[in-house]
Parts: sequence; C-alpha cells; structure tokens
Amino acid sequence: MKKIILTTLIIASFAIDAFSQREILYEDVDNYTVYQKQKFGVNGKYFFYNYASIDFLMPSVYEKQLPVRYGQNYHFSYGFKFKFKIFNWLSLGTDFNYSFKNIAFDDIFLFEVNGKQKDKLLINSLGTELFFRTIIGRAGNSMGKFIDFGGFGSVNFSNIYTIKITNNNPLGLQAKKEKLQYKNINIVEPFLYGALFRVGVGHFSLSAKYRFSDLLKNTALQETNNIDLPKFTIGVEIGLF
Amino acid sequence: MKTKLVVVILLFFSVISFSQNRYWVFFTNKKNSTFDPYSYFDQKAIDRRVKHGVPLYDSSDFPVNQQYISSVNFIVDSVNTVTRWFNGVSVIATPAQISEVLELSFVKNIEPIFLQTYTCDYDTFLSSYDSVLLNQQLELMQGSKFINNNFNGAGIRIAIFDAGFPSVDIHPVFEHIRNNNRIIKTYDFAKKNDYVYKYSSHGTMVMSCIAGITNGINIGLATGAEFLLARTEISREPFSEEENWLAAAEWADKNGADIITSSLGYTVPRYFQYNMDGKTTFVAKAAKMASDKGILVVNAMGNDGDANWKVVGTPADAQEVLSVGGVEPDDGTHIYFSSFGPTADGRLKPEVCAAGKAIVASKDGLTISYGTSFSTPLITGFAACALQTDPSLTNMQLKQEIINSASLFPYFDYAHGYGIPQASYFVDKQDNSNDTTFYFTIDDDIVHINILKEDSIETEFKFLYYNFSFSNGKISQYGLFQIEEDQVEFIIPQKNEDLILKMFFDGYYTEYIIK
Repeated sequence: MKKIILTTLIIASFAIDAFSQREILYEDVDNYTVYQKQKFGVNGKYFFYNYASIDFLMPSVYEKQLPVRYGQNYHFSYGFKFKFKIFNWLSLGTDFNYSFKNIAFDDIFLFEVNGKQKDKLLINSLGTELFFRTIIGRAGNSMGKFIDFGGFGSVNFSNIYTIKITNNNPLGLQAKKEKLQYKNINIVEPFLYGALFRVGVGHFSLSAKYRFSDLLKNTALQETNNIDLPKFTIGVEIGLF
Repeated sequence: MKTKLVVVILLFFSVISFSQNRYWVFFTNKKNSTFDPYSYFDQKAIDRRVKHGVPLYDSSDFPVNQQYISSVNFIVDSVNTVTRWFNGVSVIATPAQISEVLELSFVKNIEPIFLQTYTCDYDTFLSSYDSVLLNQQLELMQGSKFINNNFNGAGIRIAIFDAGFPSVDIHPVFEHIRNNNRIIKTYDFAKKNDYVYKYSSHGTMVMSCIAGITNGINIGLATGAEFLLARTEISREPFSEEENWLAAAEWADKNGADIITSSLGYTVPRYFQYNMDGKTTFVAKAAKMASDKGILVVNAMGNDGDANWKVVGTPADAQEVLSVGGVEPDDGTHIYFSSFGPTADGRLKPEVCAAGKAIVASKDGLTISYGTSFSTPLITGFAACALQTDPSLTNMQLKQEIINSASLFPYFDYAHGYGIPQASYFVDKQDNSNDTTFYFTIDDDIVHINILKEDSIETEFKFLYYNFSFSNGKISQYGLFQIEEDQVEFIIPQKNEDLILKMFFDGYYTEYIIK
C-alpha cells in the first residue's frame, strides 16, 4: 500500500513539473464589484454595531441635588445599536445596553458611623434607547455627521451601597480603615427614563442625557428632604465598527 | 423646569453650530450677462474651440448674473466658488438660510456638497537615483521614439490640478521650463492667490513625470510643453476640493489648456461603489464639461487595488476621461495597488496604463514614488507628444488614438485597460499586431493553449492575457499567465449565457464564442 501511495505521489509531482504554469493575475469581476445599493452597511438601510460610552453627572444651579464628588461619578455603558434608515437624512435607532453606574457621595447619606466616611452607590442596569438620527449633509459610505434625539429607559437590577470608614487613632498612630457593604439595598428606583441628545462624527459622539424619573425611592428621599441625585449627564460614546 | 429649559437651549445651540453646511446653488438663467470671448479667453483657448467646433458664444461660458450672486450672498454666510459652466455658486449656509435662498425666484435648485473627503494617497520612500527605473518608466511607452524625433509636447498647454508645487520655481529639474517662461499661469484655488510653490510636494512629483529633465535625461516626455498650475487639493480644509476642481477646470479652459491632468480621486467614504458611474458625482460632471469644451482630461484610477474599495474613483469614472492605471515598470503587468475597473455602469476602465513606480522630483531632490498619481502624468506627457505629431486631432480623437496605440489593443481587461500606449504608433505609424503566436483547443471545460514562439519566451517576460466576456462586452473573468512553458491551460467558468473568450499573447489577439 505504501508503495502505491509513494508511486502516485512521484508521478503526480512529475506531472506538475512537466506542466508548470504561473497565473499572476486572476479576477472574477462579480467578487469585487458591488454595484447595487447595499441593505446592510454603515449608511445602508440597516446597520448594527457595538459601542461603549461613559457619562458623567453634571451639577445644576437650578435645582437642589445631593452633593456628589463630580469627578468620581460615571456611568459606563456597553451595548448594541441598531439603525434603520427611513430617508437619506433620517434614521430610526434603538439600543440595548448594560450600564454600570458609580455614584460617589460627597456627604453622609444613609446613616452616620464613627469616623470619617465616604459613601458610594454602585448600580447595575440594563437599558434601551429609542432615537431618531438626522444626518447632516451627505455622508456617502460613512456614518457622517449626525444628531440623535430620543429617549432612554433602564432597569436597575442590582446595587451595592459601600461606606468606607477611616477611624482616627487617638494616639496618632496608623489610621484604621473599614468598609461596609450593603447589597441590593432598597433605596433605588427599579426603572429610570429620560431624554437624550447626541451629536457625532463617524465613530465618535458627545451625548447629553436628562433623567426625568427619580433615582432614589421615596423612602430614601424622605431622608434627604426630597433631594435626588443630579439628573443631567454629559458623556462620550465610541462606535465599535 | 429651568433645568429643562437650559438643556433645550444647549441642544438648540448645538444644532445651530453643527448644521452650517456647504451647498451648490444653481440659477435658472443668465439674464443681463454680457460676454466678450475675445477678452475673456486666452488665444489658445479660442484656437482650441475653433478646432473642436465649440461656439465662442456658448451660454455656458457667459458670466453668472452678478445681481443673483449678490442676492444670495446677502442671505448666506459666504459665497465660495462661482461656476459659469453650471450657472451657480457654492455657499456656506445654515439650513434656514438655504430655505430662504430656495425661495428666490431665480434659484433653480440647491444641492448639498459632500462633507467628507478622500484624497488619492501616494506612497513615497527615499532612494538614490535609479537610472534603470528612469529608463523603464519612459521606454514602456517607447518614449525614446518621441525624444529622438523631437516630439516634446511643444505648443501643447497642460493644466495640472494638485495639492501644491513646492520647489517648481527653483528645482533644477524644471529649469528648462522656467527659462523659457513656459509656466503660463498659476492659481491656488484654496487660498485664492497666485502662489502655488508650497504645501504638498505631490504636484511637484507629478509635474516632473510630465516634463522633468535631470542631468540631460528625461523624467517625462513633454519637456517642451506649457503649463498652468492649479492648487485644488487641501489637507486641512477638505470640503471644497470638488468645487476647486470645477473652478480650476473653468480657469484651465479660459487659459487655453489642451490637456488637464489630475492625479487625484474621490472614493470611500464619500461615495459608494455604485456612485462610480460617471454621471453621479459633481466632479465627474465637471470633467465631462471640460471634455465638451475640447480639453483632454487625464485622471488617475486610484490606489485602491489592494483595498476593500478596489475599483475606480471619480472623476476617472467619467466616460470622456482618459483614466490611467499603474503597471510594474519592469514587465508591464498590473501593479498591486492600481484600482480596477469597470465603472458602476459596466464601462471599461482604465483605458491605458503606465509605470506605477517612477523616478520623480521631490521637494529637494529625486526619489522613487509609487502610485497611479505618477502613471497619470507619464501618460499626460505621452498625450502631449502624440498631439504634437498631429495637432489637428480633437480631444476625443486623441484619446481614441492613444487607446489604439496601446500595447494590448484590441484586447482589454479591467486591470490593464488596453495596455501601455506605444510611441511607434504615432511616430512610425505602426500598430502592435503580430502574426499568430499561439493556437488553442477547447476540450470539455478546459482551454488548452500552445505557444508557437518559444524563442521569445526565453528572452523576455511574456504574458498571456485572457478574459471571458458577455455579448454586451462586459468582462466576467480575466487573468494573466506568465509563459514559462509552451503550454497553458485554464478552466472555462460556468455561466448561464454565452461567453466570448478573448486572448492576447505577444501581439496576437483572438476571440472565440463559447456556447
């Protein structure tokens, strides 16, 4: 059997040698020409893409807000956007995302403990958006310049309330640090909703969101004299396509 | 509530600042315009028009009504370009201003101008002077035939549209042109002034491939031609390049250009492949108009052959344009980056090819550069010499004669077009056809080729070109074999309709209908 295989291989190799030819170019025109309008594509009828975004809470001078450490507050989101082109200049979009909200309080919030304390609320949520996207000018085969406006909603499915405590040692020696954590504490509204606005170019966009709903439940608001967390966020988003 | 108000105001201002845009505003008529062609046109432009039978009092050359321009200017933020050919202006305006402009009784229609741009890039690396390559880039076209017979484009006026011409005013490669005052006019359409000898050196490289001489050796063929240098390409402010192209074309027409050469193109992301039909883009329409005025427009295919886009850019997609692809200078086969045809409506592009790797003059010396940007001016120089051999040729006749002279003619494919133009066609009135160099048989679905001239195989590169076309002329598949043995085989593709097999080897062309 081995001899037969070996003989076949030798004959085959001679056959190849005896008839060598070198094709240095071959093109099938259908393989590289797409001369019909594409249904799927960045500026096609349908487009589906991943994105990541980060938003920061913004202060407001017009309404009372619980004091937070603004630089340390962020909402990170990762999700999928789907865009359906209605006209060349207008698309309808929707979005499904996972969001992680980090809210760092600048004051004692729930209850006071002995020592210097820092309170933080972490919220995990699943969200959605519904928006209209207006293309500015003609974008050709690209996302182009666009303006989005619409609404968002989310479901908060878990939260962790953390208190970091630093006890000053009366003898002036090393300070003692402690951390208290309360999971799924009943102070966060399960549903949030609001309005959004975005301006973008290609992969990048700046977004502004305003939350109409309260974030804290009535029980918590009673403790804060009906003062809720900041409702306005500004952020950046990058489309991963 | 106040917060909501602030949000709305913020959004409103964002929209306002974001939505300022560029538009073409076209007018219904040219009422009250007065026009004297003898004061407007250069004498060479008048001569060209007479030759091509283009009327001197063509309404498309009349000036745009100044009152219309003033009225529009009163509404919009600024008026940028005025086009006589298309009777309009390009403006920067907000949508609200544009709505107001649209209500003017003399406004025919308004079109937004694309906001994103793509310029034809080129790859450059520094190298020492390479005399072999310099010889190849001209001898592929039998350039010495023109040089030895004193055809150097004398009397032909060439307009170059590019991104800048630094050092053209001092570089020794262009000394013979400067000494004879053959740079007739210059204009920077981005900066609106006459000084073009700065910015990108791409234009310097291109010009050297048309007319440069270094140490007594030609870099390009049209060393005796006259030049109009227009800067139309910008890197920082990309929005107005197609407007600049049109404005430069009108300027070239006015100043008597016989040939426009433009080593640039617009593709992704501004356009889709299906826009490349020669009728959709504004710059393609402008190229057609320039051609209608009797100017031969020579344009680069683009450097997307190895990119996703892969096909021709615009304005090379226009039917009237002589579109130029790139080939390897040592063997004349398709160079990897040169964009392929056909156009979106199935027309052949490129028409011809030239070296896609060339010795060029850089800002401060000589270098080797890659790109159809340099194939194009090599062909432009060739075209100027060809026109000099018979100045009675119209622009379209010249284009056809260049095609007829090409090395593969009448064979063509979407990588090489009709091949590389040959000077012997114009100088010696020789065509490139040859006696039978191969025969073929078809057995089942396989084509068997037997090469007859074995001697030629050993002495130089020889290639068998083949394609399968439909009866309407569109190619389905095409390929190229380097002939190393005296036999070649390839498979016939399965299609639902009859195919025509076309083959070319060593000057011999044949075709066969496969049922």
